[in-house]
Amino acid sequence: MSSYSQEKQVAISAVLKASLVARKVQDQLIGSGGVQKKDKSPVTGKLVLSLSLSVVLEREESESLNYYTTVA
Amino acid sequence: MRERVQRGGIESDKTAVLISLCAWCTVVGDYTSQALISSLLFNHFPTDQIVGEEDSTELQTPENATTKQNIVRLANEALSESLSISSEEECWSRVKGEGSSKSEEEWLAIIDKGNSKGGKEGRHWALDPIDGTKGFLRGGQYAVCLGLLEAGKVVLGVMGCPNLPVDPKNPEGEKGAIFVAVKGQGAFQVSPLSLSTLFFGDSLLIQSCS
Repeated sequence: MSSYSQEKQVAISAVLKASLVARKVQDQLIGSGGVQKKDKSPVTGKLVLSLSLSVVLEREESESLNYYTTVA
Repeated sequence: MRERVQRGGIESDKTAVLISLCAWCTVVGDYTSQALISSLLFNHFPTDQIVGEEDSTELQTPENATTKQNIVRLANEALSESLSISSEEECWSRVKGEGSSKSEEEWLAIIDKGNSKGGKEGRHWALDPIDGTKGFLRGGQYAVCLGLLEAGKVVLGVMGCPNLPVDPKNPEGEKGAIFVAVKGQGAFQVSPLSLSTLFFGDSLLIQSCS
């Protein structure tokens, strides 16, 4: 049976690097106040621009720069 | 207002900044993670296929030019950063050996190579670059998930959980966990788990959870 030692090492290295990037990106999001979704439908990458637009619209209407409000 | 934005007639600097920020925080995270992971996998296992979540079609549109630039910038920044754990860094050194940075075209090509449909033959890596986008958006839990399938059967899985407490008994303690499972070998938690300290650590310990 293969030990998959090389595959394991490469996969850990890949996930570690990606996790660090994701954390960095999320830190930016948290710093902005975060974004929440009311319903339980899945949030996919393709929805993100739509979510962003909704955030912008709510912000535009409220004229507030304190925090992001609920979207979608 | 919605129509103006959809037509690309953004009139407010504030609006433009907010669109850019939110897009950067989510789309960029997904695409950048996929680009980085795919670059490493294809370097070490060039004949393997990757079943990813994203392709570059949406990034090719003019309105996503800023997002695309951010992805390329962040991916190159991550590529240039070093991990102090020698075994991890050694894996990445092969990608870095191809050049200290990659062009926009190279990163997009890498993203698009992760478009395998999968199947029961050969080896496939299944990737969800950010599993739990909802949690990611609200600053909660999410995971970077990667699995290897041989002939349609899972043989290896690695999951990175940047916000998960290292010690479940100490939920307010250090956060950042990586879990590994290998067929016939059990499941393991990789430690030290605080991703923020991995840059400064000098060893990688693996504890069996099986």
